[in-house]
Amino acid sequence: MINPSGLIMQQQITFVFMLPLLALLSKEFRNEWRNFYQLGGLLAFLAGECYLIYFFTGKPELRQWNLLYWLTYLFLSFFIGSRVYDEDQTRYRVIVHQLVHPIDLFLSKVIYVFFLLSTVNVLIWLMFALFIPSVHVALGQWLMLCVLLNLGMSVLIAFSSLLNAYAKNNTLFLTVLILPLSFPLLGMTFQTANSLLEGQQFFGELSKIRLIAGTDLMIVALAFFVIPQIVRS
Amino acid sequence: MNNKFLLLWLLPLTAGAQAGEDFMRSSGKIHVVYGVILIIFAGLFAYLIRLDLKIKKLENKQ
Amino acid sequence: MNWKYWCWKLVTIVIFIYVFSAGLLIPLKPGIEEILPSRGRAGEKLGLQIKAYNTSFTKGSIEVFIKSRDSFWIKTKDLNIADDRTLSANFNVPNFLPDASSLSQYSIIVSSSYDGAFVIPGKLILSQDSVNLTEAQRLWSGVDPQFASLSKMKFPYRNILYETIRNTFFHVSLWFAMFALLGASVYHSYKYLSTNHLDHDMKAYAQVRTAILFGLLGLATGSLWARFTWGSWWTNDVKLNMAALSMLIYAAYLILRAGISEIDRKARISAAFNVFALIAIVPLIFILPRLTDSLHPGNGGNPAFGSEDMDNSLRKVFYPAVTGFIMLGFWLSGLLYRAEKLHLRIEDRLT
Repeated sequence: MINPSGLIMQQQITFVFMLPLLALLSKEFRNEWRNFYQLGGLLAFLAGECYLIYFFTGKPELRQWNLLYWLTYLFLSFFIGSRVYDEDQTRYRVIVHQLVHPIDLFLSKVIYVFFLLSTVNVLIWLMFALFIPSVHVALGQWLMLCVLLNLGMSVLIAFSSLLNAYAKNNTLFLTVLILPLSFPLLGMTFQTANSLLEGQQFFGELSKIRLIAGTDLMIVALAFFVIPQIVRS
Repeated sequence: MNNKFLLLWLLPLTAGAQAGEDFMRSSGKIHVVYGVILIIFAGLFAYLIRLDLKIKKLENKQ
Repeated sequence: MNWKYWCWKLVTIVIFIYVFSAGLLIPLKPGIEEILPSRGRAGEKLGLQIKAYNTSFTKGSIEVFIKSRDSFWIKTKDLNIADDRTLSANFNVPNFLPDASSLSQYSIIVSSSYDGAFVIPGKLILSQDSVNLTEAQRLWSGVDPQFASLSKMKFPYRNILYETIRNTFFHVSLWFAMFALLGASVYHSYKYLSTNHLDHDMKAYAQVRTAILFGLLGLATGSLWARFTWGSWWTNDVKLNMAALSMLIYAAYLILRAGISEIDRKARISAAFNVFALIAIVPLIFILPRLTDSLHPGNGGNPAFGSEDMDNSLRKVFYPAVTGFIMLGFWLSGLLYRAEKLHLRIEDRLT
């Protein structure tokens, strides 16, 4: 039977295709909302850290400021990572092969972690700006840098979490897997951020930005090549 | 027991560090090349020994 | 005797014998280590004390020259040979220098009928009070040096490196072999993912382990070499850090494998990780040092293995050394793979 309004049909198909992903995502966010106090804890940690930095160094130099920023980011991304690991540990086992395709689960995880990391990034920025303001930087460019980093990191966290879930292992893998894999991304971001803070223009650092974006692309492409292979068994 | 021997090994190394430095730099730093070759051989032999042990274990199993 | 089985292994042995004997026995070219004093004035006498490396001044006839940037020369008045490696040369520096500025750099060239000619570029600084180019060119153009060319193959002399230039054959080829093994292991991991044949995974595992051995050896030898050329065991160089990072990634690979007990699951996940890690991260090890400062040749504006660092005499040993280490790597990993396979077979028989 031919549907006269092919457009609607197509929309329906996309909708059906997207449905599990959307459902998963909404589940993630509802879960997050329910555990809202965790975000509060995160904020308290950040405030405490900033106060400590202020207490001990007063006003840190640009390089130190940058280092503290990304170290805090790394720490918090590990915090997020450990939560994702715990959730995935059970979820991949329960849901896979029954309700949704693992790729959907992975994708929803990536989006969710990306969102969390971005929130964390904004929070760190706000807290740092509040307590130890020493920075005037082109915000748009900084934002783009953060987005690129968050993208790579979220894929890495979700990917290693999937590996961990399939390996039926503990959270020891978190540091072992994520740290070396994320090190080049973080290192490049740190260097680019440094030169941004020193007042250089973004496009002076074009080659490195391109490298970060390229690494992101590589990571995303490989994750989507490799995951079906893992999931197949 | 083992630890003591290790320490004894290290003793001349730390005591004669300066002498060792001069020795390494003498005759056109050729000793650095010998050191590098020594490290490579040590590594290769360590690999061989591990392989040997592995095969030994297999033989015992059989 | 199975010809195909032994042929390439024999070739490996022959290559290794060649690399070790040529790499250690071929002497360095003679070179100038140091000159004292390093400054002189126009119109005065200059007594240069020259310390050289790997020379035999007592044999053959020797001439010493000072050369300006634009190839004007003066020759020694007389020289005094102390021993095989030291001589003092006296010059009458003309009243004017063939250079438009009051201070300029000059090279010292020693030409010996026994050792050939060798140079220390730009080490001598001469000063003059007033500039007179035409007069200077007349004063400096009396000499037209002829150098004897050496036919023997010798490795180039570099001032800080000395004999350690031979480490190029041993240290650098370790890294080449490591990358060859990692590349092969990713190929096998990919093969495993597409065919599900456990052999491929075992091959990849053996190759990664051998690659890790080579990487660790590369770090250790590099560290020793760095101690006596750059002055510390570990410098904060991009290339070093990236090498250490790749070791970390493969340590993660080993831990991942150790953490999974089920054989198929272990193979699948570690193969996926291997493909992911090598293709996503390891290319950065090549790209990143090129963008930032590095002490290594070929990085951060340093000359690559091109004209400066690699001359033809080095190449004749370096390329065989790389091939030899790669072949040795495959040999070793092949042994490990076969032991592993036997292990699996025996386990199967026992259960």
